[in-house]
Amino acid sequence: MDRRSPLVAWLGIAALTLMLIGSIVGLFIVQADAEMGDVQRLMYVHVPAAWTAFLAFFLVFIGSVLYLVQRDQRFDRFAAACAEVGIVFIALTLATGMIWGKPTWGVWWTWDARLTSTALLLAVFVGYLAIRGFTDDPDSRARWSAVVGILGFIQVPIVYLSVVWWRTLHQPPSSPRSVSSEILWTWMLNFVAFLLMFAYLVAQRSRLARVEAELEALEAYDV
Amino acid sequence: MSMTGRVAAIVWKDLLIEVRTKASFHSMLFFAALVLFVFSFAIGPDVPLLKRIAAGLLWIAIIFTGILSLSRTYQAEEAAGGLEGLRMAPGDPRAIYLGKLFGNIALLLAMEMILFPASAVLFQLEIARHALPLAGIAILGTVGFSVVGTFYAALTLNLRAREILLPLLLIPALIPPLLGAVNSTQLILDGNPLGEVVVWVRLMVAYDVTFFVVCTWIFPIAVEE
Amino acid sequence: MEYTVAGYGLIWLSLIVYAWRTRRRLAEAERQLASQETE
Repeated sequence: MDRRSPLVAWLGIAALTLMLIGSIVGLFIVQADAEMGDVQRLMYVHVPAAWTAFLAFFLVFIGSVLYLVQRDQRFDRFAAACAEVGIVFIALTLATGMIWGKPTWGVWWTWDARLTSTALLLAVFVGYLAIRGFTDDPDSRARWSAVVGILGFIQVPIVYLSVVWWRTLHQPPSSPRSVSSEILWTWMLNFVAFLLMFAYLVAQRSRLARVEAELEALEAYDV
Repeated sequence: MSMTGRVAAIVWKDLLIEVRTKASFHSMLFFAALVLFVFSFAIGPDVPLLKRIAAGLLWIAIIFTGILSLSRTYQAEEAAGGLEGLRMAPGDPRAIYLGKLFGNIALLLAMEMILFPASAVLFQLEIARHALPLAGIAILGTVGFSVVGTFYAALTLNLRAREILLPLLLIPALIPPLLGAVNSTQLILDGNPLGEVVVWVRLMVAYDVTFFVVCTWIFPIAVEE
Repeated sequence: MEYTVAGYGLIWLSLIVYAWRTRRRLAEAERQLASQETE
């Protein structure tokens, strides 16, 4: 079996390259924001990271559903890999959001709707990985985490909505700022870069899970 | 035995145990009151402040008490080795979920019937004239809590660290009904025009219906062998 | 601007560290598997 797939390696190189370009564009090439200054450059990575994290969660959902329907461990490994990589991206979303907030609002945390729901999404991810961590039997682990993954995904929009209502019913919504095409392109660039990196990391993590599963199976016979 | 029959049987059996021992009801009630006390002590004797956050404190007490009592939902079956028997019995395992769900709702609502007036005394609230809307909110919130809680309690039943896993999974899921219940309660107590309450009520109803359907549907997978 | 650079740096650092850790675990696991299979 070809364990060292060159495709994955190229994926990694492409991801790294595009991320580099995206960072250079975001940090140096794009004009600094007229009102907010250089700090706004963080949005060029914060927003794509958030999109990637949501996609990751969606893929966890898909993987969970596919596992429950087909009972194929590969779907479970895929879902778990997406969750683990997804948690990295959601944590980065939260961190960059807070780092943006400090010079902007003067504080690391406000109970702002988006920041709060990002934190809650992180909590749901953590719950998914926690239930996997505490279950030893592969079949039960796959089954239960699939259920948690599906329920968690359904919770996300409702949680987000309720937090937004919680905040907007108590304060007027901020005026929407128009997005120039330059900003949009930079978002897209970094989003694709993150997607490639996400795909690369999930590929590696899935392969790790498969090798670990094979090891587990061998040890079961080795007693 | 029909589905309704099985559900009713489970509810009846649990209710009988509860009525005979009265153990969990009394300790739940006392624990909830203790939570209210502890928070009040921690926050300080600033009565206007406590009145402003009373709705939040009340629902925190209900949720913490609920989470503790949830882990006991299947305890009676476990001790008698019964969960296996229930599972292997013919018919839909969903009957177990529904039976436990109604039992939990009933128990929590019974506790709230005392806890609400108790909070009114502690925080100098006037709940008498808002009794009906408050009861409605209590039902909506309790149903939302119990639907998801009973489900996760079954899911984490066989896990090593279930005492920490259950709250870990449950609390993020409970944010919508928590926000809905707390805000509705606060708005009703403030005598606000019912306009804003409707938003939260709609949220709670949507949540309750959605997760009642999803959890009931997916329950057999959670408990299958 | 320091905040901005810190943010970008954090992203790079985290992703590289995660990638590196995963690759190391993969190499270790594959090594173990190879030695198990030749037994």
